[in-house]
Amino acid sequence: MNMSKEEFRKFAFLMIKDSKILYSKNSNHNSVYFAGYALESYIKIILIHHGNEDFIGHLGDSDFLDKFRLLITLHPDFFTTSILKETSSDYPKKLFNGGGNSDTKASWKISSRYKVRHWTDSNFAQDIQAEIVKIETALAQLRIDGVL
Amino acid sequence: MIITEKIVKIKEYLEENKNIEYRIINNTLGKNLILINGENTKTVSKNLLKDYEEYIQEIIIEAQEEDNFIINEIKKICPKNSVVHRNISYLNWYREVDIKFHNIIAGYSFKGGMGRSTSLAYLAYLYKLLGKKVAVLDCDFEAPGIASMFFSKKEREEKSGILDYFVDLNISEKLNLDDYCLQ
Repeated sequence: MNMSKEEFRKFAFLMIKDSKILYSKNSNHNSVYFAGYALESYIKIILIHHGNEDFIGHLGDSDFLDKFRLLITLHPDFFTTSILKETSSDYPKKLFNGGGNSDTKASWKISSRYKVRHWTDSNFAQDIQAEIVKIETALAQLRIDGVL
Repeated sequence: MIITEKIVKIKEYLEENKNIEYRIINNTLGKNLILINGENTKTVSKNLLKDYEEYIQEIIIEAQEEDNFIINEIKKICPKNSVVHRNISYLNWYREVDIKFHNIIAGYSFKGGMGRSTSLAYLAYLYKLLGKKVAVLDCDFEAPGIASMFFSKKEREEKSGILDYFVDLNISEKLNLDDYCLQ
Protein backbone atom coordinates (compact mmCIF):
# COMPACT_ATOMS: atom_id res chain seq x y z
CA MET A 1 0.00 0.00 0.00
CA ASN A 2 1.42 3.35 -0.97
CA MET A 3 -1.15 6.09 -0.49
CA SER A 4 -0.65 9.81 -0.96
CA LYS A 5 -1.31 12.59 1.57
CA GLU A 6 -4.27 13.70 -0.55
CA GLU A 7 -5.78 10.20 -0.51
CA PHE A 8 -5.52 10.10 3.29
CA ARG A 9 -7.13 13.55 3.50
CA LYS A 10 -10.07 12.36 1.41
CA PHE A 11 -10.30 9.18 3.47
CA ALA A 12 -10.28 11.19 6.73
CA PHE A 13 -13.18 13.32 5.52
CA LEU A 14 -15.09 10.23 4.41
CA MET A 15 -14.68 8.67 7.86
CA ILE A 16 -15.63 11.92 9.60
CA LYS A 17 -18.76 12.24 7.47
CA ASP A 18 -19.82 8.67 8.27
CA SER A 19 -18.93 9.06 11.94
CA LYS A 20 -21.25 12.07 12.16
CA ILE A 21 -24.09 10.20 10.42
CA LEU A 22 -23.69 7.22 12.76
CA TYR A 23 -23.63 9.47 15.83
CA SER A 24 -26.78 11.26 14.68
CA LYS A 25 -28.48 7.83 14.48
CA ASN A 26 -27.27 6.88 17.99
CA SER A 27 -24.85 4.28 16.68
CA ASN A 28 -22.24 5.38 19.21
CA HIS A 29 -19.81 2.47 19.01
CA ASN A 30 -19.22 2.75 15.28
CA SER A 31 -19.24 6.56 15.33
CA VAL A 32 -16.18 6.32 17.62
CA TYR A 33 -14.63 3.53 15.55
CA PHE A 34 -14.85 5.60 12.35
CA ALA A 35 -13.53 8.69 14.11
CA GLY A 36 -10.39 6.70 14.94
CA TYR A 37 -9.64 6.42 11.22
CA ALA A 38 -9.80 10.22 10.89
CA LEU A 39 -7.06 10.63 13.51
CA GLU A 40 -5.05 7.76 12.01
CA SER A 41 -5.25 9.38 8.56
CA TYR A 42 -4.15 12.74 9.99
CA ILE A 43 -1.09 11.13 11.59
CA LYS A 44 -0.31 9.24 8.38
CA ILE A 45 -0.38 12.52 6.41
CA ILE A 46 2.26 13.87 8.79
CA LEU A 47 4.28 10.65 8.58
CA ILE A 48 4.23 10.80 4.77
CA HIS A 49 5.14 14.49 4.87
CA HIS A 50 8.30 13.51 6.74
CA GLY A 51 9.27 10.78 4.30
CA ASN A 52 7.56 7.66 5.69
CA GLU A 53 5.83 6.99 2.38
CA ASP A 54 5.45 3.23 2.51
CA PHE A 55 4.78 2.82 6.21
CA ILE A 56 1.88 0.55 7.12
CA GLY A 57 0.49 0.66 10.61
CA HIS A 58 -2.55 1.47 12.66
CA LEU A 59 -3.44 3.49 15.70
CA GLY A 60 -2.96 1.09 18.61
CA ASP A 61 -0.03 -0.80 17.04
CA SER A 62 3.14 -0.31 19.02
CA ASP A 63 5.12 0.09 15.76
CA PHE A 64 2.83 2.89 14.65
CA LEU A 65 3.08 4.72 17.95
CA ASP A 66 6.87 4.23 18.10
CA LYS A 67 7.16 5.70 14.60
CA PHE A 68 4.98 8.61 15.64
CA ARG A 69 7.02 9.24 18.82
CA LEU A 70 10.24 9.11 16.79
CA LEU A 71 8.76 11.71 14.46
CA ILE A 72 8.02 14.03 17.38
CA THR A 73 11.62 13.63 18.58
CA LEU A 74 13.10 14.27 15.15
CA HIS A 75 10.86 17.20 14.22
CA PRO A 76 9.97 18.97 17.47
CA ASP A 77 9.40 22.27 15.64
CA PHE A 78 6.62 20.75 13.56
CA PHE A 79 4.77 19.67 16.65
CA THR A 80 4.94 23.02 18.41
CA THR A 81 1.96 24.07 16.32
CA SER A 82 0.30 20.66 16.06
CA ILE A 83 -2.82 19.52 17.87
CA LEU A 84 -0.92 16.28 18.48
CA LYS A 85 1.26 17.97 21.07
CA GLU A 86 -0.11 16.68 24.38
CA THR A 87 -0.01 20.12 25.99
CA SER A 88 -2.09 21.65 23.18
CA SER A 89 -5.57 22.74 24.25
CA ASP A 90 -6.84 21.06 21.07
CA TYR A 91 -5.11 17.72 21.75
CA PRO A 92 -7.72 15.02 20.95
CA LYS A 93 -7.01 13.06 24.12
CA LYS A 94 -10.02 10.76 24.18
CA LEU A 95 -9.77 10.01 20.50
CA PHE A 96 -6.05 9.32 20.75
CA ASN A 97 -6.37 7.11 23.80
CA GLY A 98 -9.50 5.39 22.58
CA GLY A 99 -10.77 5.50 26.12
CA GLY A 100 -11.61 7.83 28.96
CA ASN A 101 -8.54 7.64 31.13
CA SER A 102 -6.33 5.02 29.54
CA ASP A 103 -3.15 6.27 27.89
CA THR A 104 -2.18 2.94 26.37
CA LYS A 105 -4.18 3.37 23.17
CA ALA A 106 -5.10 -0.28 23.80
CA SER A 107 -8.70 0.26 22.68
CA TRP A 108 -7.47 0.79 19.12
CA LYS A 109 -5.72 -2.59 18.97
CA ILE A 110 -7.54 -4.78 16.47
CA SER A 111 -7.85 -7.59 19.02
CA SER A 112 -9.32 -5.21 21.62
CA ARG A 113 -11.96 -3.48 19.53
CA TYR A 114 -14.51 -6.23 20.14
CA LYS A 115 -14.25 -5.66 23.87
CA VAL A 116 -14.44 -1.88 24.07
CA ARG A 117 -17.54 -1.19 26.12
CA HIS A 118 -17.28 2.58 26.63
CA TRP A 119 -17.56 3.37 22.92
CA THR A 120 -21.30 2.76 23.26
CA ASP A 121 -21.52 5.43 25.96
CA SER A 122 -23.31 8.49 24.59
CA ASN A 123 -21.19 10.99 26.58
CA PHE A 124 -17.98 9.43 25.33
CA ALA A 125 -19.25 9.39 21.74
CA GLN A 126 -20.28 13.04 22.11
CA ASP A 127 -16.77 13.98 23.29
CA ILE A 128 -15.31 12.15 20.31
CA GLN A 129 -17.57 14.15 17.98
CA ALA A 130 -16.15 17.34 19.48
CA GLU A 131 -12.62 16.05 18.95
CA ILE A 132 -13.07 15.16 15.29
CA VAL A 133 -13.96 18.81 14.65
CA LYS A 134 -10.41 19.55 15.84
CA ILE A 135 -9.08 17.03 13.33
CA GLU A 136 -11.08 18.71 10.55
CA THR A 137 -9.67 22.09 11.54
CA ALA A 138 -6.14 20.69 11.76
CA LEU A 139 -6.49 19.16 8.28
CA ALA A 140 -7.59 22.54 6.93
CA GLN A 141 -4.54 24.15 8.54
CA LEU A 142 -2.22 21.57 6.94
CA ARG A 143 -3.70 22.53 3.57
CA ILE A 144 -3.25 26.25 4.26
CA ASP A 145 0.39 25.59 5.23
CA GLY A 146 0.97 23.69 2.00
CA VAL A 147 1.59 20.32 3.69
CA LEU A 148 -1.39 18.99 1.80
CA MET B 1 11.31 41.51 -2.29
CA ILE B 2 10.46 39.12 -5.11
CA ILE B 3 7.53 37.73 -3.15
CA THR B 4 6.38 41.19 -2.08
CA GLU B 5 6.36 42.40 -5.70
CA LYS B 6 4.46 39.34 -6.92
CA ILE B 7 1.83 39.64 -4.17
CA VAL B 8 1.26 43.27 -5.16
CA LYS B 9 0.74 42.19 -8.79
CA ILE B 10 -1.57 39.32 -7.85
CA LYS B 11 -3.54 41.72 -5.65
CA GLU B 12 -3.74 44.34 -8.42
CA TYR B 13 -5.05 41.74 -10.86
CA LEU B 14 -7.70 40.57 -8.39
CA GLU B 15 -8.78 44.15 -7.71
CA GLU B 16 -9.27 44.79 -11.44
CA ASN B 17 -12.09 42.24 -11.18
CA LYS B 18 -14.60 44.31 -9.25
CA ASN B 19 -17.00 41.45 -8.58
CA ILE B 20 -14.39 39.22 -6.97
CA GLU B 21 -13.84 38.93 -3.24
CA TYR B 22 -10.37 37.60 -2.42
CA ARG B 23 -8.20 36.53 0.49
CA ILE B 24 -4.47 35.84 0.10
CA ILE B 25 -2.43 33.91 2.65
CA ASN B 26 1.29 34.19 2.00
CA ASN B 27 3.43 31.65 3.83
CA THR B 28 7.11 31.63 4.71
CA LEU B 29 7.88 29.41 1.73
CA GLY B 30 6.93 32.35 -0.44
CA LYS B 31 3.81 30.63 -1.75
CA ASN B 32 0.30 32.05 -1.73
CA LEU B 33 -2.97 30.35 -0.95
CA ILE B 34 -5.78 32.33 -2.59
CA LEU B 35 -9.47 32.07 -1.82
CA ILE B 36 -11.77 33.73 -4.35
CA ASN B 37 -15.50 34.18 -4.54
CA GLY B 38 -17.77 36.03 -6.96
CA GLU B 39 -18.17 36.24 -10.72
CA ASN B 40 -15.91 34.66 -13.35
CA THR B 41 -13.82 32.93 -10.71
CA LYS B 42 -12.77 30.17 -13.11
CA THR B 43 -11.33 32.64 -15.62
CA VAL B 44 -9.62 34.65 -12.87
CA SER B 45 -8.10 31.45 -11.44
CA LYS B 46 -6.88 30.34 -14.86
CA ASN B 47 -5.29 33.72 -15.63
CA LEU B 48 -3.56 33.89 -12.25
CA LEU B 49 -2.12 30.40 -12.68
CA LYS B 50 -0.95 31.28 -16.17
CA ASP B 51 1.06 34.31 -14.99
CA TYR B 52 2.05 33.46 -11.41
CA GLU B 53 1.95 29.68 -11.11
CA GLU B 54 5.28 29.35 -9.30
CA TYR B 55 4.15 31.77 -6.58
CA ILE B 56 0.78 30.12 -6.02
CA GLN B 57 0.30 27.21 -3.66
CA GLU B 58 -3.38 26.77 -4.40
CA ILE B 59 -6.38 28.76 -5.60
CA ILE B 60 -9.61 27.81 -3.87
CA ILE B 61 -12.88 28.86 -5.48
CA GLU B 62 -15.30 29.20 -2.58
CA ALA B 63 -18.41 28.06 -4.44
CA GLN B 64 -16.70 24.87 -5.61
CA GLU B 65 -14.97 23.87 -2.38
CA GLU B 66 -16.54 20.99 -0.47
CA ASP B 67 -14.39 21.38 2.64
CA ASN B 68 -16.14 24.07 4.70
CA PHE B 69 -13.45 23.89 7.36
CA ILE B 70 -10.77 25.27 5.07
CA ILE B 71 -13.07 28.13 4.02
CA ASN B 72 -13.77 28.92 7.69
CA GLU B 73 -10.09 28.69 8.64
CA ILE B 74 -9.04 30.99 5.79
CA LYS B 75 -11.77 33.50 6.76
CA LYS B 76 -10.62 33.34 10.38
CA ILE B 77 -7.03 34.05 9.39
CA CYS B 78 -7.58 36.58 6.60
CA PRO B 79 -10.16 39.39 6.26
CA LYS B 80 -11.73 39.83 2.83
CA ASN B 81 -9.79 41.62 0.10
CA SER B 82 -6.54 41.51 2.01
CA VAL B 83 -3.22 39.71 2.35
CA VAL B 84 -1.89 38.07 5.50
CA HIS B 85 1.50 36.54 6.10
CA ARG B 86 1.46 33.19 7.86
CA ASN B 87 4.65 31.88 9.39
CA ILE B 88 5.42 28.20 9.25
CA SER B 89 7.76 27.25 12.05
CA TYR B 90 8.87 23.80 10.96
CA LEU B 91 11.22 24.78 8.16
CA ASN B 92 14.88 24.06 7.69
CA TRP B 93 16.47 27.40 6.89
CA TYR B 94 20.01 26.08 6.50
CA ARG B 95 21.58 27.24 3.25
CA GLU B 96 25.06 26.85 1.81
CA VAL B 97 26.49 30.30 1.10
CA ASP B 98 29.39 31.30 -1.09
CA ILE B 99 30.08 34.63 0.60
CA LYS B 100 33.23 34.62 2.73
CA PHE B 101 33.53 36.74 5.87
CA HIS B 102 36.99 36.77 7.42
CA ASN B 103 36.12 37.87 10.92
CA ILE B 104 32.73 37.57 12.55
CA ILE B 105 31.74 39.14 15.85
CA ALA B 106 28.39 37.93 17.16
CA GLY B 107 26.40 40.01 19.64
CA TYR B 108 24.17 37.84 21.77
CA SER B 109 22.21 38.10 24.96
CA PHE B 110 19.28 36.33 26.56
CA LYS B 111 17.49 39.48 27.56
CA GLY B 112 16.32 42.40 25.45
CA GLY B 113 17.09 46.04 26.18
CA MET B 114 20.63 45.44 27.41
CA GLY B 115 22.34 47.54 24.74
CA ARG B 116 23.27 44.73 22.37
CA SER B 117 22.26 46.61 19.19
CA THR B 118 23.77 49.89 20.39
CA SER B 119 27.09 48.22 21.28
CA LEU B 120 27.20 46.47 17.92
CA ALA B 121 26.39 49.69 16.07
CA TYR B 122 29.21 51.56 17.85
CA LEU B 123 31.61 48.66 17.32
CA ALA B 124 30.78 48.58 13.61
CA TYR B 125 31.30 52.36 13.39
CA LEU B 126 34.63 52.06 15.23
CA TYR B 127 35.91 49.44 12.80
CA LYS B 128 34.75 51.57 9.89
CA LEU B 129 36.76 54.50 11.30
CA LEU B 130 39.74 52.15 11.53
CA GLY B 131 39.40 51.57 7.78
CA LYS B 132 37.85 48.11 7.85
CA LYS B 133 35.05 46.92 5.61
CA VAL B 134 32.14 46.18 7.91
CA ALA B 135 28.83 44.41 7.33
CA VAL B 136 26.21 44.39 10.07
CA LEU B 137 23.60 41.67 10.00
CA ASP B 138 20.60 42.14 12.28
CA CYS B 139 19.22 38.72 13.16
CA ASP B 140 16.48 40.04 15.40
CA PHE B 141 13.80 38.98 12.93
CA GLU B 142 10.88 40.16 15.04
CA ALA B 143 12.09 43.66 15.78
CA PRO B 144 15.24 44.58 13.87
CA GLY B 145 16.61 47.95 14.94
CA ILE B 146 20.27 48.42 13.98
CA ALA B 147 19.45 49.84 10.53
CA SER B 148 17.56 52.71 12.17
CA MET B 149 20.81 53.85 13.83
CA PHE B 150 22.52 54.33 10.47
CA PHE B 151 19.82 55.13 7.93
CA SER B 152 16.70 57.30 7.63
CA LYS B 153 13.21 55.82 7.50
CA LYS B 154 12.96 56.66 3.81
CA GLU B 155 16.22 54.86 3.04
CA ARG B 156 15.15 51.82 5.06
CA GLU B 157 11.80 51.57 3.32
CA GLU B 158 13.47 51.36 -0.08
CA LYS B 159 15.17 48.04 0.72
CA SER B 160 14.09 44.66 2.01
CA GLY B 161 15.88 42.87 4.81
CA ILE B 162 17.42 39.56 5.76
CA LEU B 163 14.05 37.88 6.35
CA ASP B 164 12.85 38.80 2.86
CA TYR B 165 16.15 37.45 1.55
CA PHE B 166 15.57 34.05 3.22
CA VAL B 167 11.98 33.87 1.99
CA ASP B 168 12.96 34.83 -1.56
CA LEU B 169 15.62 32.10 -1.56
CA ASN B 170 12.73 29.62 -1.70
CA ILE B 171 11.78 31.11 -5.06
CA SER B 172 15.12 31.99 -6.61
CA GLU B 173 18.72 30.96 -5.97
CA LYS B 174 20.06 33.99 -7.86
CA LEU B 175 19.32 36.98 -5.70
CA ASN B 176 21.06 40.31 -5.77
CA LEU B 177 22.24 41.04 -2.22
CA ASP B 178 22.18 44.79 -2.99
CA ASP B 179 18.38 44.58 -3.03
CA TYR B 180 18.41 43.50 0.60
CA CYS B 181 21.17 45.61 2.22
CA LEU B 182 21.64 49.29 2.92
CA GLN B 183 25.02 50.87 2.16
